Amino acid sequence: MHSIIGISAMSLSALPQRWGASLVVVIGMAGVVAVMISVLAMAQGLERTFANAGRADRVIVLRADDNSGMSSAITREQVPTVLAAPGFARDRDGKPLATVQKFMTSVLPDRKTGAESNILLRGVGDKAWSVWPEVRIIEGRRFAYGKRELIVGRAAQEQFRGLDVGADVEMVNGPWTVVGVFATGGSVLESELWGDAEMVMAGYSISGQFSSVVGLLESDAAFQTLKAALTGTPTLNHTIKRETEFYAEQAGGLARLVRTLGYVVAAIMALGALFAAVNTLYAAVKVRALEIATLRAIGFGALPVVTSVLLESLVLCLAGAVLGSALAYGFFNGYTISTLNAASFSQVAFAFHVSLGLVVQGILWSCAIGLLGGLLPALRAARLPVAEALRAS
Amino acid sequence: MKFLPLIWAMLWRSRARTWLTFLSIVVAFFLFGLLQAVHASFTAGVRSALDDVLIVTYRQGTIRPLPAAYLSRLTAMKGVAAVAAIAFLPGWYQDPKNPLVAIAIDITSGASDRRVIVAPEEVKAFRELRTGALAGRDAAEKYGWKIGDKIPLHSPIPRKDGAKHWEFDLVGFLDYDETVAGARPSSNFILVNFDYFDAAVQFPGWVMWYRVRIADPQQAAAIGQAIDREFLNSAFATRTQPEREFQAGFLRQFGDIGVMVRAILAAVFFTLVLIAGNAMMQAFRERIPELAVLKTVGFTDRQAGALAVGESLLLCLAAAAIGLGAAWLSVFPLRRSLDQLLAMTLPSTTLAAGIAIALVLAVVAAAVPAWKATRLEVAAALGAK
Repeated sequence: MHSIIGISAMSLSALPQRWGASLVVVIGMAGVVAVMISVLAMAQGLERTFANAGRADRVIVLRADDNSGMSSAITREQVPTVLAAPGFARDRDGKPLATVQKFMTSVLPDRKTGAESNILLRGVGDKAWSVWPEVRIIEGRRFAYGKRELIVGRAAQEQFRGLDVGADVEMVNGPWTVVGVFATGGSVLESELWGDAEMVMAGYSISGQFSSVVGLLESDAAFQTLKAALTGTPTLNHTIKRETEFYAEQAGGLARLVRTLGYVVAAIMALGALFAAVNTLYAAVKVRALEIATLRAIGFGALPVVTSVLLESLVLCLAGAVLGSALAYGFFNGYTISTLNAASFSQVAFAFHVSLGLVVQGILWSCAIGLLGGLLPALRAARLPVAEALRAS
Repeated sequence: MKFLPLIWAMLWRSRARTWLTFLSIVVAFFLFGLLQAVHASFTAGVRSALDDVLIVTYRQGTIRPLPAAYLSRLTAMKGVAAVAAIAFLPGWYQDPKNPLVAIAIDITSGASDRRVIVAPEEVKAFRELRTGALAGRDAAEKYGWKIGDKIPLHSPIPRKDGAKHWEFDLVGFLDYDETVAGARPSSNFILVNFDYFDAAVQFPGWVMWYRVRIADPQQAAAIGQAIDREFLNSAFATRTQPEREFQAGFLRQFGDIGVMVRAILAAVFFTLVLIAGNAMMQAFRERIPELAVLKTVGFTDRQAGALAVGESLLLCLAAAAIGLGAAWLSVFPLRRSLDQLLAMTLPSTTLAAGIAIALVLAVVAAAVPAWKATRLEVAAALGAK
């Protein structure tokens, strides 16, 4: 054991002499880990932003043949039937905690570039504040019903120009006034503008139909009750979906794409890093040939030599992983970007989320690559013909 | 040429390392090719936009249609050569997993997309059959359509009777002319007659956007402003943009995600090239005594250096060619599976750029050690380890 520690310490202390090649291993490994963590953090951030918007006890009433929610529709006549269905939670007056909603998109200039992008305006009814208790006003006040007033999500305000409280915003159906800013704890809702559903409908909707109804369930079992009641009503062609499921579907495609990209790219880079490690350690064994042969000649076994090579490989790769994780965390944790949510055809902002799990994953990858990369050179070191190596110089 | 066997022998001096270096370069250039193909497909619309075409949409974007009645007012405006009304019928073919969009247009208007090529007899057949459709090459290849096929399209946009089932008769095919377009935009759509669509749809009289061809591209800005002024005080104000800007705006919606992905892939390419370059330099450094031997037997400095560079070129160019070739081959299946997302194309400029990068890599990796070798005294170099 002493000999293992001693020889490993000796080989590691000689590392600075071979810094050029060793640095390539560290940089290569840092690249692998940084890229993998950042891409996966992007996928994770995207999923979290959507997942945060959904609650398992909140359901959306959608037209049965629409699975995205944007082209769903419900007529004014159908709404009372839906609201009267059993299963919704009720307030003290016995009114269902459910509301119609109407979606509309508009364009606004980006705060940084001035380029116009789509933004989602969600019109909601008067029970909205109970249906979405997580909506907190952080500046200004709630919008008033019957007026063209808006509250803007925190992320939307950061992304777009001209959404300050008191400002007038030109929307599809005329000017609206911003009266407040809201936060929901980092969900996709924060990329939206909210106003009175009736006012959103006015002067906009050609068909005169709302988009959907959202409501809270009174209990988990109520999901089946409500679903059966709605699908069993002949005047409706609607069904319900839990929000958790609804938002997971919206995030799913893009997050999957980004995550696959992350793994594919990390795997390709890992091959490169593995090669760099193998190459560097072969060279290191070559340089240390005399030293190794001397050690073997004076009686050290193969194990300490093998261990010292493997350890050198591990140390280099771990250093790379730590550097890579630090880079990914420093540059990207909490970094907010936006993209098009294809389901609502509007911008959604989300923050990268570098979790501890991702860092651990990166370090595990680097250990695997380090061990694998050190294996062949270590075996060569162990098999080094002692007499020949001693004679060589 | 007579030194080729020598270069070959030098190349395989360390078999394992040569293979690993070779594979790293192949992978790096494969990635480079794919990355450029993704980029090219994203920007195909912008790069192939025509300078004499303006797109007129609703003021706040395409979320709201424009009245079909604007057609005659636009046509009458000064400087306007031709106007085509465009409507979209989104939906799916046979299965919701196969999204397909029908684009309704009057192809005789003179403002239809000149990058699109259709055989003249098929244009005639299309005009003569109200329910006729021209299929984009991507869609036709994907579903194996032939002329005379009925193409059912399920769309959320209802017909007059409320039914959401549309059916068209395939009378021909269309493709993008790459010499005009400079790229191959996605053609996973069908073209149908605007007149028929407008007559059959439940809410007629609406246009997604107008394509306006102007006589003089220099006047684009002035004509655009004139059009927007014309409709400013109507219920449907317009926004007129050059086609290029319109396409760029659409691209911008995807936002930072494209930039991020490109930055990340560029980092990967850089790292792989760094690793391969370092391995090659290391291989040359180890071989300085051998170069000295060559000089001892009569090779000049220049010849010895040329041998090193030749070896490096052979390795890099072969690996880059294979990597780019693999990318080129995988673009076609990717184009088909990602048809809605990306119309993958690998432009020839990318191949040229890739080869140029490989050349630089080869020369840099070989030149430094070769230069060092020429400066060494033969005796010293022979003893160098």
